Amino acid sequence: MESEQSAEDLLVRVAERSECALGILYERFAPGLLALLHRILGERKDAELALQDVFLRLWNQAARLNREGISVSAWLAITARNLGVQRLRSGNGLEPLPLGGGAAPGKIPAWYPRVAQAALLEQRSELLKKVIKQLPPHQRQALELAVLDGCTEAEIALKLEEPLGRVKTELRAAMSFLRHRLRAVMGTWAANI
Amino acid sequence: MLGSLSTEEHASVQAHVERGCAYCQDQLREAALTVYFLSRMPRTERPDAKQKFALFQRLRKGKG
Repeated sequence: MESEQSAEDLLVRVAERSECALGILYERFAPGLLALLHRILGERKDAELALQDVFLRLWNQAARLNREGISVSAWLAITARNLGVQRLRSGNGLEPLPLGGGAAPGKIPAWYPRVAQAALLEQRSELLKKVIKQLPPHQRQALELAVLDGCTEAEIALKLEEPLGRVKTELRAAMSFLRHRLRAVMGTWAANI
Repeated sequence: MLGSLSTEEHASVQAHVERGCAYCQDQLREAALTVYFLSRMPRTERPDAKQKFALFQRLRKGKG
C-alpha cells in the first residue's frame, strides 16, 4: 500500500518525477508543516502559500536529498521553519537571517539530520517533550523567539527587555542544555532526564 | 543554525566551519536536530484540498 512506504522510498520516486509520491508526502507532512508555518506567520493564507513553496523546493531538491541521505521529515521541518521566518522578517521590513550554517550558497549543509538520526528522534519524541519542559521559562521563551519567531539575539533582548549579554547567555544555555539532553535521549550519552 | 547571530558573528562562525572543524560540525548537527524537534511541536492543521491542487498547478507550470 502507498501509505506504508517510508518517506525516503517516496523521496526516491519524487526524484524520479512521481507526482503521486509527492502527493503522498504532502498528505503525510503538510498538516504538521502548516501548523508550524501558521504559528510563525500568523496568517493562514500566508502559511498555505509558504507550504506550497516548501513542497516545490522538495520537488526540485529531491534527487540531491536522496543522494545525500538527508531525512525528508527533518529537511521539510527545517526548510519550513527557515522559509517561514525569512518571509515573516521580509513582511516586517527586517533583514533576512543568515541561515546557511557554514554551507556554501545553494548547497545542502552537511549537518542536516540523516535518516537514522531523525527516525531515532521521532521514536523518542515523548521523552524529548519532557526535556523541553525542563528548560527554565526565560530560556524557553528566548529559544521560542529565536526558533519560531525568527528573532535575532538583539531583537529578543528588545522584546524581553533584557540586556543583550543576558539573552546571549540564555540562548547558549538553552541550546547547550538541549544538546546534552538530546545526546542522552538519542543514546549517545548518559544523563538523568 | 538559528539565524539569531549578528551578521558579523555569523560570518566568523561560517569561516570557522568552512575550515572543517569536526567539533563545530557535530554541534551544528545537534543544533539542527534541536531545531527540527522544536519545529515539530505545534499541533497539526489540515490544509484545504484546494491547496494541494494549487501546489500541483504551480508544479506543472514549472514555477517550482
